[in-house]
Amino acid sequence: MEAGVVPIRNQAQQLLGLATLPLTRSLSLQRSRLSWVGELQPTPLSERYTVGIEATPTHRPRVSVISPALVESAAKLPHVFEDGCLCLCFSWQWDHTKPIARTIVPWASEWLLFYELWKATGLWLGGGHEEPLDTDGPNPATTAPCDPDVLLRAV
Amino acid sequence: MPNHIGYDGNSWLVPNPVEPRENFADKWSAHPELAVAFYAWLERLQEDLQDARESEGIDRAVLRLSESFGERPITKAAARLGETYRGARERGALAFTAGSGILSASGAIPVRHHDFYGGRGRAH
Repeated sequence: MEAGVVPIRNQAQQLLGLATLPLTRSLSLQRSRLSWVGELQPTPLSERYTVGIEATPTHRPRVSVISPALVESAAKLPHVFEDGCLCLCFSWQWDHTKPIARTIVPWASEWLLFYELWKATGLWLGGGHEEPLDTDGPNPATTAPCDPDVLLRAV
Repeated sequence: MPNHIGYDGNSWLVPNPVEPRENFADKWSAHPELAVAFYAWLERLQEDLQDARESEGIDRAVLRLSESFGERPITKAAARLGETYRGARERGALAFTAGSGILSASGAIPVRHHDFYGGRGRAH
C-alpha cells in the first residue's frame, strides 16, 4: 500500500475518496452499489471523456467510457471486454482495500491516453498482456483479471 | 518563426540556429520561388499548429500535424510519446491530476503500477 494511503474498509470510504476528486460529476451509493461518473482528460491535447464506474463490495469495478463513444467495436479495441468495459489490470493488482480514486480512476485516464495514441499510430503503447501468461505455478495472470467470479473466489 | 527570417536589402537570411554561419535561405535570391513556397508552408504550419492545439484528441492533433510535417515523423513522435508515458509509469514517475485527469510528472496522485490485460472482445 502506498505510503500515507489508508486501506479501504467499506464502500462509504470508497465513496469519500471519489468525492474528493474535483473531476467527479456524479456519485451515488445504493445498497452497496457505488456508481461514479467523472470527466477525464489525460493530456491537454486530449478529448474530455465522460467515464463511468460501477463497483460493489464483491465485484471488481466495471469501467466504461460513456462519451464520446469509442471508435471501434469491443472486438477490435485493445484491453476492452466484449461489453465495452475497460480492462485495466491483472487480478492481483487490485482488491477492495485499494482506493478506486487512486487506482482505477488514474488507470482509466491512462487507458484513454493510450487509446488516443492507438488511434494515431495503430499501436497499443501502454504495455500489458493480451493473453494469459504461460508460466508454471500459481500465477494470477492466468486468470481473467476482471472476472467477477474469479474475484469472488479470491475473497 | 517569421521573426527568424531576415532580409538585408540584398539577400534573405534564415540562420541555422545550431550553426549561425549557415544560411538556410542562401538560394532564395536566385530562386525566389523557394521563398514563396516556404512562406506558403509557414502559413499552413501556423494554421496546423493552431488547429492541433485546438483539436480534441491526440489522434486528431497527429492528423493535423502530419499535413505539415509528414505522416511518418509525426506518427513516430506519437509513438515516442507513448513510450515516454509508459516508461514514466514503470519508473513510478507518472502522476495523476485530480482536477482534470491529466497525467504528468507533477500530478498529486502517483499512478500505481499496473498492467493492462485481456480484452479484444473477450468475455469478463
